[in-house]
Amino acid sequence: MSSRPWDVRLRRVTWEPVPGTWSVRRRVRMLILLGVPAAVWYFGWLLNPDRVGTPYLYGILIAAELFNLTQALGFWWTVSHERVREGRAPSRRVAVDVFIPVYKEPPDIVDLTVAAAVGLRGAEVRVHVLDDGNDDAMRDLAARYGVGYIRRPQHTGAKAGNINHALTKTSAEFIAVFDSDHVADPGFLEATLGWMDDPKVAFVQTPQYYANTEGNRIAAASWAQQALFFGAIARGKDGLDAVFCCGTNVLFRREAFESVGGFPTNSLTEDFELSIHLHERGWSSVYVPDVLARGLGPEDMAAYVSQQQRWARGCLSGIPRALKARLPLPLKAQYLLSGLYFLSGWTVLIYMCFPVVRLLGGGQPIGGINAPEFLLHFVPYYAVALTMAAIAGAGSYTFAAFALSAANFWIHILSTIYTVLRKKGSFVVTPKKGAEARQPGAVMPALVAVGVLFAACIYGLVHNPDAATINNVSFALVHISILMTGCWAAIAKPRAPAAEALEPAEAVA
Amino acid sequence: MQTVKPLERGSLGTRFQRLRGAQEAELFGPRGRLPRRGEPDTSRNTALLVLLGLILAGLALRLAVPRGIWLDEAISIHQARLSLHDLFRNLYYGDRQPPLYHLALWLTIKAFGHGEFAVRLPSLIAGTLVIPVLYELGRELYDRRTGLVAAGFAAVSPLLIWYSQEVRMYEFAALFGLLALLTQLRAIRNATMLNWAAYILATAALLWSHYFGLLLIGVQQLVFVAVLVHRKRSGEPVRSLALGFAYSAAVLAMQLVVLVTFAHHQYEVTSAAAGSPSGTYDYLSFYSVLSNLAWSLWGYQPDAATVLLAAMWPLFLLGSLVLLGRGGSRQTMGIAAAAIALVVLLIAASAFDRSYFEVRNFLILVPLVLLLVARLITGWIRQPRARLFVAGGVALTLLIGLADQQLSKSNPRLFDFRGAIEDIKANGGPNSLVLFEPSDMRYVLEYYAPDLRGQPLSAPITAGTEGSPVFILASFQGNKAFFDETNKVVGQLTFFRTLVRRFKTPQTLVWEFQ
Repeated sequence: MSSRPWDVRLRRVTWEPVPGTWSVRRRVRMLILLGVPAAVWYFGWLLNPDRVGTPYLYGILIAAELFNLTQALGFWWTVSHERVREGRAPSRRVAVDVFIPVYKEPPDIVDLTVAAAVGLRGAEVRVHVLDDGNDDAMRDLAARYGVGYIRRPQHTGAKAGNINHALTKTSAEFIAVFDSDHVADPGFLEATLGWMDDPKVAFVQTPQYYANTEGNRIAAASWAQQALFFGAIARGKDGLDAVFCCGTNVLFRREAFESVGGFPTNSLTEDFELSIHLHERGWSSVYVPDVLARGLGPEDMAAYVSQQQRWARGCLSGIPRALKARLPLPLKAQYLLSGLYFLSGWTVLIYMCFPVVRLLGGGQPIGGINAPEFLLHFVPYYAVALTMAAIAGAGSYTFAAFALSAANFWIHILSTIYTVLRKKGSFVVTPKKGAEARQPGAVMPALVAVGVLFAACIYGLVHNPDAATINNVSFALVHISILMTGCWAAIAKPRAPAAEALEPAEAVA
Repeated sequence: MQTVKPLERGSLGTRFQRLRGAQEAELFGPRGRLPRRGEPDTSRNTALLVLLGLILAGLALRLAVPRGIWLDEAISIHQARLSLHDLFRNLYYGDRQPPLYHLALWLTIKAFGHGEFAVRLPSLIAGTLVIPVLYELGRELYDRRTGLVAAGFAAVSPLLIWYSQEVRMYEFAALFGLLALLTQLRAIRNATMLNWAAYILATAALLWSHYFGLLLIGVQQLVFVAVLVHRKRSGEPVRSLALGFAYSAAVLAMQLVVLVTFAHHQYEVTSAAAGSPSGTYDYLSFYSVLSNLAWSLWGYQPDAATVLLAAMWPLFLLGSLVLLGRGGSRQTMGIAAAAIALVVLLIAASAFDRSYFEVRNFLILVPLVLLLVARLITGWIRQPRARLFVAGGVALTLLIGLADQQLSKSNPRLFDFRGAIEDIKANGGPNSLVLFEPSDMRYVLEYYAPDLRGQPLSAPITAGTEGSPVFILASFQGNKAFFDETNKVVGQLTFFRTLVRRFKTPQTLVWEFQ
């Protein structure tokens, strides 16, 4: 019995995974007709040698802009291939091992996860708690629900090692994996098992929905980022047969798992690399865009930073693997796009540096032009790119999500450096409960950036308060606003949970 | 699991509505007002009391007119002082505006004379009425709170105040444009004959006040079509709406036959004439769009201030990012789409004549933008105190803009002919002669100094000026033709006469020769 009587994971799902209006695919394709000419118009102008201001700054700007263009085109390409699958019921009675890997999570969080797993319909369900934390309370919990409990003598390979070990102790044809905080919908298997009728399908992925977004800024912004990925991007990847496993809320075929030797244990994002292995072996993957499990997003900045660091390091270190993989070009490009996303923090740093350099009396990347000329070329491209994100996000991708990502630009930078230096990282489980104090330390690099931008503004305004300075101060203010929005949750006093957050919205039937 | 409280369908539904917020309110329902997040709206009595205060404050600010009559105003006054027949004839042969405003001005002059206060009265009334009408539109679309905030902004809006004081038709266009939107909304929600009649009257008044009203009316027709299609698809009855739409479109078409004939003749005649005095326009660029947008909010500012305001364009990037994921209600999207469509249409029209892209020609945008800003504040900010603080902050920036616009001598729209002419009157004798440039300055002289002898700069100097001072009164010196002409005559007079003094008032130069 859960000690969290009104658990937020029982609340009504407020996200609409597939927008009910015009298909995103159709709208995006129409916008691409505007976006590609707009991009050509902008870059044709920007790459003209007459635009060179300070050469080294121009070079950096071009690198950042081309990186962003690659990401934008990749995003447009992905979402324009949207495929919307319905849940598919199993055609025969099969056995499914349900793995719930745990590592020192609070038992009251895992309680509901186990309870929901026990209630899964549509197959012979064998639930196993894979305890890597040697926690007797977890063993008691498993015993209380009458489910399997697997504890291994040596805890190598983190979550991947834990699951691989469980593979040797179980035997069902299919394996469902839920993180310790993910409460499965009773119909999870009824919606996913049917897709396994195709013998080439290795896994069926479903969204990783966060239920704790109300009243928690970090979880809400973090979910908004997830919603874009598990919305239009994942549906687009599915259309390109390029869905990768996200580690939870996923159904595997044991045969596929075993064909690649289980999860790779030398990666921080074992699911990403596992997907590459599986696709290399000719297996395919499926994405069902229904919320079939509800979990908890990071509730404080430290948890978010820890999660993002793990993802960034894992995906960046997966880039060489994706480059070497023997995959069809579109599939390889999809993996590279996903991995390269974690370099985007560099572009944030670059764009922040330009006004600082200019305000402190340095040069600027583009020279010999005026604002109207720049805007005439830039605005159409920018407007289309932004509209595309808005349409793909279908209202779920918010400014707070964008700001949170931008304020953590330094994670990408640090991860790149660690990856290049081959510094070993460790798998840190994302904490499931938020801290009850401010966490300025978790956003210190962003706060330092705000300080530098602010100081540059003051310096510029004091020394040369002309229109060019005002323009650069405005740019700096844009960055400061974004960074402060992203940092706010870490420096503001954490909100007390609202009374209504304790009420259930929906019972798991 | 057993500890979970049973599902309460009723309360769930209510909470779900609250979660989605008032922006989900149905635009075309009986009345689309839902209190945001369950928060009670401002009470009716409080709202009316505050509105009354705002109207009085707005009126007081509109009554404080620090400037005199300028060229275009003087032309309008001249026309309105003619007989009704000659007024229409003058408009038909020498202007580019429809006649409604001139007719109102003609009646005002007949009733109250042509003193400065009297001639400003039609615009003053229209400009003051904008405040309650904007409140009503805000209330109808959202709630009383939004209406009040928007009305508060309108009360202190520099540009709305500027044109409430100008003897021209622009404030009429803003008022009737707002009324057209309000009556359209009511006709869509409740297609009664009265609502349709009000809509037809409002659009007719708009159309006969300013030709560019047609842009707004065009956008409104698209809205009607969209609503009809939407209702048809969702199986709702469309008969009354379709009938009303067809009837209003027919009335509009009939008006257009007359109006287009009238306008066509006007444009044919006036395009053959010399360029407008204020016809020194740069090419249309993002800068001109940005500066017009800055003016629309903070009023006419000196060029230096406008350059600085326009340099803040990166803040628009921030604004666009902040909108990410906000979704917005149908109301907000509709108003924003209408505003954007108007700007785009005006830009398109400017391809034919650059002078069209001027903020006064889309004055209706100002209250719409103010309404959107008001909605951002009431819709996004949950804390009442924070809401008041932000709304107050926005109003403060508008007031600063207003003070600068009204008091700064560097205002690019400020032409102090009154000051210059009063000086000439004080220093010139009965035989003094005023040579003026541009030629339309005669109407300003006619208004302020009907007894003073004057003639265009280009005309030969008449006899009988020996021993009397000759003044040159010149303006619009940014126009090369006017500048060259002024320069030439000043040079000639300097050769034959003695330059006694030279002085200037805002955008006006005066030379006095003996």
